[in-house]
Amino acid sequence: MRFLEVRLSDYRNIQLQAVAVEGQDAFVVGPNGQGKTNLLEALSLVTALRSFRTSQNRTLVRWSGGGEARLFFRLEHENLGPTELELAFKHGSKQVWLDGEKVKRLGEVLGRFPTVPFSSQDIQLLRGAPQARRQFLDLAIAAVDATYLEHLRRFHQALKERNRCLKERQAEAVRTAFEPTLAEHAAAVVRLRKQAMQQLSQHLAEAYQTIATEDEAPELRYLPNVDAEDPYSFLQLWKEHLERDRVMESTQRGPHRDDFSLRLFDRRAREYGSEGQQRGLVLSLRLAQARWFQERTGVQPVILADDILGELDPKRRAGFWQALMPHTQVIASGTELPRAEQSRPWKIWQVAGGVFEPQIS
Amino acid sequence: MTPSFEKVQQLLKRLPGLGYRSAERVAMHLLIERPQDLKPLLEALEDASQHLQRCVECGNMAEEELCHICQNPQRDARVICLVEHVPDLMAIERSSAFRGRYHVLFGKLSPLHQVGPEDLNLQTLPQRLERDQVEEVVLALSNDVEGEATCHYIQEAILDPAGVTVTRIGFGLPSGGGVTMADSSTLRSALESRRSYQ
Ligand SMILES: [Zn+2]
Repeated sequence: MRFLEVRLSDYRNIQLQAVAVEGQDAFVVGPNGQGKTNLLEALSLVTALRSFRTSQNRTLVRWSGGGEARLFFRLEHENLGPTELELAFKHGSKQVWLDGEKVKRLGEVLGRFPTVPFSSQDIQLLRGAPQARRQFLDLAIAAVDATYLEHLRRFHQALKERNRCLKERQAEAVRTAFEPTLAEHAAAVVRLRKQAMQQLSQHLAEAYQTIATEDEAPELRYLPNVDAEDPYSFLQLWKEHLERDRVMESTQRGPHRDDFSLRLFDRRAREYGSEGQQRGLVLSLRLAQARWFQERTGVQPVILADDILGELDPKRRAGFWQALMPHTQVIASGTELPRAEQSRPWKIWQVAGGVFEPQIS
Repeated sequence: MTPSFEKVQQLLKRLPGLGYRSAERVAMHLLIERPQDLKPLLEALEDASQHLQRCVECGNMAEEELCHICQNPQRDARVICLVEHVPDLMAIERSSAFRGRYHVLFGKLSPLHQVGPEDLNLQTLPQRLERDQVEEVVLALSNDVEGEATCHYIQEAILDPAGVTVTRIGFGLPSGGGVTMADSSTLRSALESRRSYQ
């Protein structure tokens, strides 16, 4: 996939802007706080229809605007050909149009327009709380597998119902009525996560090899809270832990508590890895996500590199470019164009105060 | 805008599916643009509200104690199709694929929405099963989390103890969808391909 043009109105700090990248690699240059990250975030919205920075639509809408952020994209897509996608975000609602036609089920669009964001915040995938890792995993899998999203949604809905039963001390028969469905989707979520993790771990190892000097045995390890892929095991477990669930007034065990770890030399990189190793691992995780996506769907994701190229040492920067599939579109940002990147055929935009100006070379 | 117009609009807005704009349009139409339509509508509403009631057997709408389906001796009383709402029943009737009788629950189990078993029309179901020697109950509830839980609950609490065969209609229906969302031919094949439930 390639972006040809993006037009934004009342989006974050951007009143009305058009950026025509025409399918080429683009570099957005400017001081911090001017709108670089906002542009990359806007491009990323085509993938999951939600931001990797916030879950609240209203923060996407320009404060002094008309109350609705509009994003229009012209794309070149491997399966769909030239495509126009339009998104509208309001407080509490979003709407999508595909080639001018309103999309009734957002699930139809989810994951069809892949992007992979790289940012310095990615280090939180390694150092932060499990929730960030689960969110990464859910977005990555949902983008390649629509059934995963359906299982995940139903799992969370059934979980809410069961938790309400526990909280309100509902009759046994009401609570247990929700458990077979909860167990079915819990098992499916774990099964699909396990599968995804295995494939991602292979790609991660390959990507990490290109940026490391020796074999450090990189690994992505899935840490399921309940290691079971059949509904029956979940039903049994919830039966055994019922007293605890009652006291806590919520379901204590299940895939909503899953986690994963990044490892080197069979040890957790979070505790034992150097700063450089940790950064290399999260970079490799994003590269793995991109390659996995390409492998699963045949569609090449657009790389959105937010202010990271300048931070990479020469070895890792070379590895980054080497690990990308050929002909991948890269849209990057930075406070200045890094020296090593100056020879690439970028289209360059200067940004100031939410205004993007193409640099004429 | 006058006070009495505003009052009508406010009341209309409470009706399902009507927002502020459509409530205004309906009120404007009935009161100002075509007031001649108002009287027949009022009479029809008055008349219907006096005659319409829930069928005491199945919950379907009826003008007597029993609905036209429960009155019809041609309909097989030994097969009961369980639906969430009356429009689901009407959708299945339109498909003409079902010759048994119905039971309308008027909802589905959802602690999140404060709907418990006592809020569902389940009280008369055990009697029906016994009296009519029901052999099969077809679960035609939506296939979302709450629909599935309702099926499980009813099976455990009522159907299994009564020893009837339980089937679930084959849901090739849009995920999370209900019976009313499907067209007749989809419903027909869903009913024909119903399978034994667990
Ligand atoms: Zn009836």
